[in-house]
Amino acid sequence: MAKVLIIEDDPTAGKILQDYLAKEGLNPALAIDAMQGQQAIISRRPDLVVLDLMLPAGHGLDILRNLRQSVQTQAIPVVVITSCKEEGIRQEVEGVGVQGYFVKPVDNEALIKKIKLILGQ
Amino acid sequence: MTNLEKYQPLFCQNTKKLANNLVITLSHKKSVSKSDIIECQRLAHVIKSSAAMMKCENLSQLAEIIELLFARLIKESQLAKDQLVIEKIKSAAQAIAEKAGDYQKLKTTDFKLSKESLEKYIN
Repeated sequence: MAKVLIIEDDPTAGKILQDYLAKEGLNPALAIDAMQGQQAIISRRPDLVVLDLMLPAGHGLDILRNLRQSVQTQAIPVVVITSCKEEGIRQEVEGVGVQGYFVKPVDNEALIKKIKLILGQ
Repeated sequence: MTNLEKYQPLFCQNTKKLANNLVITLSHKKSVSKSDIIECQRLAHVIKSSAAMMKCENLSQLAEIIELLFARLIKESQLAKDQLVIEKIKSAAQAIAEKAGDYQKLKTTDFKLSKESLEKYIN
């Protein structure tokens, strides 16, 4: 079962996404802030990360940069979910390297479809 | 499409907690620090996106106004020292917390007075 790490500080959105991914046969885990997220990337070695940008104890973009800079984690696919509609942010995130970018409110069906495509399911 | 109805109680519970945390963060010191304002901005941001996801558009709009106002407070320290502005934000957060026991109230309340009391500070 593919391991998906969700880094999301919205407790409602995090729970909904966790349930949805579990129902689709994936193995989701939830981290609620940037520090937890960084630690979970190292300890869980997820097959994919769903990453919110605006987080407590750090910023999602920094998590993404750290992930891409480490040989051990640089190949992990990342899908960003964010309320931020600014094109500049999107360009910055895509410049670092992501496999998907969704603006909230997210269509969960579309998100799951993207995740499964990335995971080759 | 995901059936979100079963998440309404959780959404209400979380929104109440977030709104109460906003009030508490703005209340517990004589003056509000920059890190407090940044944290409050994040709380408003979460309420905003959570409310949009759960189809509570008026709540989402109010939370967006609060978030934008906090962004302004971060830039303009003089405005951040205005206790009246802080009290109006607290009042708006309390209005959210009061309705958060009931999803239908969160969905149907227009939060008009709260929005109007804050909009003038961001325009």
